[in-house]
Amino acid sequence: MGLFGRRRKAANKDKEEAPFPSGSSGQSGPSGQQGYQWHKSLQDNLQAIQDAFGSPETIKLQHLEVSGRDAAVVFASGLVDLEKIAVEIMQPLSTWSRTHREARPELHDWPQGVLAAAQTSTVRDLSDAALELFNGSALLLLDGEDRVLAVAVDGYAKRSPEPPRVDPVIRGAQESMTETLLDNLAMVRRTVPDRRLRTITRRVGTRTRTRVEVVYLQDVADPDLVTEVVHRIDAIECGGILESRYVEERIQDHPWSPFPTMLDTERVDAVAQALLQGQVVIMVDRTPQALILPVTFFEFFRSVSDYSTPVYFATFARWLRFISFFLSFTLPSLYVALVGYHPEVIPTKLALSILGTRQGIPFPAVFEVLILDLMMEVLREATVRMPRNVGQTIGVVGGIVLGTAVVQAGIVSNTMLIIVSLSAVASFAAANFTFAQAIRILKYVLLVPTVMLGLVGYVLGLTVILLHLCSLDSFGVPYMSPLAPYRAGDIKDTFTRVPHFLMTRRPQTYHPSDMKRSAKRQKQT
Amino acid sequence: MKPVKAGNKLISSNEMMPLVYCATVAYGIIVGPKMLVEFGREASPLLSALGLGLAVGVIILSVKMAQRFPHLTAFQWIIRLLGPLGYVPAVTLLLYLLALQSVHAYNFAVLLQMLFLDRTPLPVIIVGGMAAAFYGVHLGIEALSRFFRIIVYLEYLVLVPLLLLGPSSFTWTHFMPFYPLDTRTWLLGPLVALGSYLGYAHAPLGLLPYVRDHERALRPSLVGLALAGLIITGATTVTLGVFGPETVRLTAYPTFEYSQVLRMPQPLMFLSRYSLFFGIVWVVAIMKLAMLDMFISAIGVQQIVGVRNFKVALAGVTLVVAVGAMLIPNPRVGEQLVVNVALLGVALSLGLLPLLGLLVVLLRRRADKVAQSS
Repeated sequence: MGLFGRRRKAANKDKEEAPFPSGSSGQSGPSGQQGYQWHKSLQDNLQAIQDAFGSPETIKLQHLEVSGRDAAVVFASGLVDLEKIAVEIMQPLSTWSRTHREARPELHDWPQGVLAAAQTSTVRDLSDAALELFNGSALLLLDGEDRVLAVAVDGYAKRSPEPPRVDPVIRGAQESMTETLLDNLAMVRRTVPDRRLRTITRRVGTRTRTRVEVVYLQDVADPDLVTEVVHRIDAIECGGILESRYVEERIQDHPWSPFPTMLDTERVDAVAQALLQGQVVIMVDRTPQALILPVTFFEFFRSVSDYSTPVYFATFARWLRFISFFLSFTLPSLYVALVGYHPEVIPTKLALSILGTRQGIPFPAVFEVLILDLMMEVLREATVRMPRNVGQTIGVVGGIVLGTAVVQAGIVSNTMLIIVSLSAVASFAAANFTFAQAIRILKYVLLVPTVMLGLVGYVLGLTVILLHLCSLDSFGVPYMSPLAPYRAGDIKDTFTRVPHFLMTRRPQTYHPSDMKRSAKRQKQT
Repeated sequence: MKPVKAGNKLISSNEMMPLVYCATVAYGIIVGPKMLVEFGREASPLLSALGLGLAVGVIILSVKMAQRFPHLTAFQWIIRLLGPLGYVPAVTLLLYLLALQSVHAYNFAVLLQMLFLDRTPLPVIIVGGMAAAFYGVHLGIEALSRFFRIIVYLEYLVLVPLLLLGPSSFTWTHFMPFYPLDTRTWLLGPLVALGSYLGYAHAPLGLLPYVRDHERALRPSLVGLALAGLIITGATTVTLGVFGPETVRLTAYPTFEYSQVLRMPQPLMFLSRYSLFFGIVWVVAIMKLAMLDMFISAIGVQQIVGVRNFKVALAGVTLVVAVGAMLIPNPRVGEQLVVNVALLGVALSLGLLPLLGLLVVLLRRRADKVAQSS
């Protein structure tokens, strides 16, 4: 596995005790070998469930008789569809009992011959029972059987797919993922209906046992990469996974870097595109964002909309994003360096204009930057936390009123207001929100050497940032690829967007198993 | 003495191009044109081209030598070949590198103080530069090679337009007469030019053990040298054409002066301070040479002194270089040291390497056995 140089070992020490007696380390598979074993007595099993759950109000029990034997259906109210329980479990069992009074029903016969449910599974222990109950299944217990059946009758509240909030497009699919993993997988499968689309399921978190899916195209993705991703997920030891970020930070190569080494997206077409070019996707239950990996620096300047707009405009938009990225974190520092240290470098007319606006300002340029930038950050945070309708109003009014007031009060100059506003607006031009957050931090990082050494510090700061970028990897793929190391074939979809008919090969950067995008159709086996 | 650890990250032979380019252009763009125009006057572009030819010969020799022991650094194979006696040239090489870096760090600081930071004390500038270089080197050779490759693109983006705008300001009589020199100057001129390419030999010698496919390292190394040669010869031609030999003699850094006096065409007037871009390239150029030399020196310290941890060795090198730079009393001594160190570099390139080459031929049988065992 030489490809993955700096593989992060999961050294998470926050392993917690499992809530139910089980041998599981938070993963799927034959868990619970050392936990509670189901007894043949229904009463014992019901008592065990009661002991384990502490008789909460939400756990309901329904007794019934099946061919003269006692049985029980256990479910969590609010998470199941009661009509489904009636139609798929109760009614079929009742009918079957009437016609088979003398029969001794075996549990394993039920799914095929008796129940009308589409999905059933055997519950091995109490840990599995909790998982099934709280994922919307009903447990079916039968006296004399030391096994328990879980029947999928989920009826919990779900959100329907909506248009993407973060990366909307004019042309193309208006469909984003939701909090339900199975629905998200279904949407991806509908977009890429290829039989070689594979998923590997893992349960992570000793308490939450969150379902995590690794999705990839079997004949396209690098098998070493898939193995590595699964290996890293298996190494996670933690109490709970509430969001994909919990997984991301535990498996990424450089968790301390401000730059993201995985791309998060809520767009189904972005996931499909990543799969088609040989990347691997991680989907986490209850998270409407999927993680795409490996990624390069330049991936964050690509938008799905680039591929649904004419090539010239897509290229133009991409360059706008590059320029915006550079301006967003360098502009305030460059201003401080030029105005505070080297005004002689500025063209004369511009220098006079800037110096004119700074007349009477009591602070040095760096304090001006900090005052305005912090004000901007506070407004940004406040508008995110506020109710949407109020937030927009406060954002606009706060920005205009405060901005005008500080300039009129002579605290900051007009030029500085332009610089900081331009920098803030430019940071949103990045195609990814997580990446935009990194830019916000970098702005302050660059300001430190600039304040100390002027233009020289600015250059040294940029050098250090570039060096840092060059040192990053994403699952064995150099972050600055295809520029460094240079991959000629991948450049055409980096600084430009060539027409689709010219993109005949997949990006070499991701080491796909099959380089040709239009692979020959394989015989059905 | 153990070979380079297998666990170290390796780079591909293609990465030798930016490494050689960056090592060569770094100081060459700053002092090369002045040295050449002062010595060769009207024939300095031609001498630069001849020096490039000489440099090609030396780099072929260097790479071939290093390829004989692809898993050993220069320090290691010198000691392997010469036994305990080999510590003398190995330590000399290490001291040369340390001295070179100290002189460069000092001149870097003086230059920046003179041009940009007239109120900042020299030690502050030295420490700032060394801290950035330390950060870069501690990331390892892989990150450095990627960084250098990006710098090649950026430098060409700034330097090529700068040089292409030169002929519009040429005084063509500065190139006349075309053959003004005597035989002595023709003979020594290429050697002076070689001095302006100072630095190129270190890269393949010090870094070949980190190259995955080292047998293919020569071609990218030569491409890197050729790209650097184009820039240095171009800069020499432009400074001669714009200023003439007499003015160049009076200016400290003619290339920078040229970027300051450059008159932009009307549509590009917003770029009237092109010297700003050139200044940025200049700072980065010196930084990258410092990083390359610091990396090789830290490896040298590890292998000669026996320090196990690379970062500890690097910290030691950084400290020695910074203190060395601060001990230089004034710019005049600094300038003299540049010349002395350049001469030492030429001596090492032309004297030590052929000598060792001769030894390799004489002791070939023994060397083969050693190489096999390594």
